[in-house]
Amino acid sequence: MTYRAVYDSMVVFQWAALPPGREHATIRLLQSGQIRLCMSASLLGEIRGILSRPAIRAKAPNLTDARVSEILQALLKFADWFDSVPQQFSLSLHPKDNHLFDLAIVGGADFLVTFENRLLKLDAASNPDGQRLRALTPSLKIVRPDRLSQEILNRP
Amino acid sequence: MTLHLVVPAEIEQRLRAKAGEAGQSVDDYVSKLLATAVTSPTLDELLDPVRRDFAAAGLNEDQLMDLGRQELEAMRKENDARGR
Repeated sequence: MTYRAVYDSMVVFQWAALPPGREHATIRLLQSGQIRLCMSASLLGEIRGILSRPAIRAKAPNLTDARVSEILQALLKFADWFDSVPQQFSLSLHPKDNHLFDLAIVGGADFLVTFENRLLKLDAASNPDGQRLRALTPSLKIVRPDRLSQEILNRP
Repeated sequence: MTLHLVVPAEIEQRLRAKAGEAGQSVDDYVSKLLATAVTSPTLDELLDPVRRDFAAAGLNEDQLMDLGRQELEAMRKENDARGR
């Protein structure tokens, strides 16, 4: 079974930043076909942007424009592209995250994968913002990258 | 090398349409697709030199992730200031 997911830009940054040889379950799940990504211009721009920051590149000289483009092309092989991502959900305290939720909604994503606690807490049943989100996309689960494999195993 | 492939009817239909759009036979089109697939670097291959750079930079994992978060926030603020 293939599930659909939105990986936020820090997930991709982690792929680049953590030590060589580290197994990244979020990459393996793409390669095995268990996860298909939802992608939009906003999210791709954010990923390109973070991988292009001077302070990041100062630590990683191999992170050139050409390599970033190759990384994004490789990433897009595992993604479905959504040209139109209407604004449907708004997180008032963190509006810059709205595009992730909107992409998850339009893409029918099963998972939003993120390290950010401000987003993860929306997965709690009692969270009012989470309740608003689930009214728009009842099946969306917000999970940390290291929990994604287990979440998939737990699915019926 | 000669391969015999069994593909679902829907994929066959799309394959024929895409080969037609590219002005190629299905055989040529599939052969080029396969060549691209096996010669393109994987994500891990592309990321490996970058990972080595970060490892050599001397920051631990928490510091690297903090750097990423700070830069993401800075980028978002800059984009706001530009009205994007």
